Amino acid sequence: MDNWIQRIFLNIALIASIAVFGFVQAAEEKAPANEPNKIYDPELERQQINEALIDDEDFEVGVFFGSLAIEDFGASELYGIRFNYFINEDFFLQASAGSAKAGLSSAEELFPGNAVISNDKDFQYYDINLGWNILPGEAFWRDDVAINTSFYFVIGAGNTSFLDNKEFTFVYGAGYRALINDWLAFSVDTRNHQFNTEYPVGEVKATHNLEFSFSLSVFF
Amino acid sequence: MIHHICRLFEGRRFIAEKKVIAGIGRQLLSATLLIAFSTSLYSAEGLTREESLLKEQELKTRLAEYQRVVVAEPFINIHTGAGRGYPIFHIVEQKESLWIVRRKYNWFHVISKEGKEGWITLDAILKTKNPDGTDVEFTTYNERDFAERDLEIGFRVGDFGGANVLGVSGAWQFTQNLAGEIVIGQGIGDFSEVRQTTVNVTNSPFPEWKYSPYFGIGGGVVKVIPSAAIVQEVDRSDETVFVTGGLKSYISDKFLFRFEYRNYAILTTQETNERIEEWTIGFSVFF
Repeated sequence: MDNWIQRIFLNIALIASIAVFGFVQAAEEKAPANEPNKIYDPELERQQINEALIDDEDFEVGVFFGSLAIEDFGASELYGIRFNYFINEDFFLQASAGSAKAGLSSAEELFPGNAVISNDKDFQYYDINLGWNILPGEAFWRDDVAINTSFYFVIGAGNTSFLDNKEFTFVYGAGYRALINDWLAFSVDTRNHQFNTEYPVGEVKATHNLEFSFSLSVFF
Repeated sequence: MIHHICRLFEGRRFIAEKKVIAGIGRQLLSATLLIAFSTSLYSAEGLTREESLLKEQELKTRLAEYQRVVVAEPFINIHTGAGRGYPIFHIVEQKESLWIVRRKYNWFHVISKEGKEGWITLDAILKTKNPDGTDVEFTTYNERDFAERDLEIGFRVGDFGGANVLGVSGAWQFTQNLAGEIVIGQGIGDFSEVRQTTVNVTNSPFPEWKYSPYFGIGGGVVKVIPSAAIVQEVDRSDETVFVTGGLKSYISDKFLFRFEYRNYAILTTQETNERIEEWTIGFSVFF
């Protein structure tokens, strides 16, 4: 008996609650219609491409650090900055500037204090090169990371200031660049800085100064 | 593939374990097997349902940041990198959308609605449509733009009266024929260093030619700094006027090659003026 009564009341309660709930819901659904129309919708998609809003990444700027073998002066620490402008997938223009402090020459080591030589031991250079991405490629890290890479040649000319002299310098070399992501790159570079000098014997001779450097750069 | 390898691996482990723990009860063994199998399933499947839903949501919010184009050609190839040699790993069909992340020279980094990311060429994107159905517009450079260029920035190397010279130049094209140019150069000779700053106007009578000749006149300042180690002489700075003639040729994209001759008259304080010839080659980028 009790069960019967309970069931009837519960059923009534259930129906009533569903009806009320449904009504409330309907009322809630209606409500937004009474609100003023939205003037600005941030979700609204642009209907035509605006080129100015697309990120353009043709420039690369980076710092490099490495070693420069200065002919007759031993190898020294080298550091500098490098700037690339990518014309297309094949070619880029490069400007670099670097600085190294030369050690003792063999003459200075043999005759300490007697070798007549300039006190200007700062080997500083700048150069402008044309780069050619000759072997673009992909390198793989573990299972599922692919890194875009490029092996390139550079050739150009510049100016070297060393031993109180300024020398016109031919520059050529090769490098390998790995793009860690779209905007960050790591490169390894080799260069020969070739110029004529009269040191140490007064006769003009070509010197070859080999650079080996690592650089970290960003694209923008 | 990975799925299979995982299973294989788990299977092998199971056999090894079986040998070692032969004495332990059968139930413990089956429990180990169950755990091993379920973990292998999880690692192989990679994502649970919640995770994949979350990923979908992430992609949606990411795509909302970028602008969309619609493929109008039968299909577009997506490459793994920004270069013609990178393999094509995905194809987007007509009427599907692509979201543009960034541009690198003549390549565009895009994402498809499935979240596939890669690079497509400028030529391909020029054939897509805006979401409203109109043609898309992107800056391109070709030979015609070379004739219609405004700004030109370049570098040059050459010979300035026996000294090796290196310079940078900037030019502004007033009309297709008439341009103004500034050159800053540094020459390194055996006995001295030369610094030149010059401005000139040039006229290109045939701007649309493959090898477009030009000629002009200009003036500036030439400074000679004698090499400290060799001669004791003071720096001297002289004004100069010069005539110039050269050839420019379009290479590709926004890239041009040039060859130039200049004949300088250095207006010295001595009785006779000095004449210096300069030959340079260079590359420029134009906009």
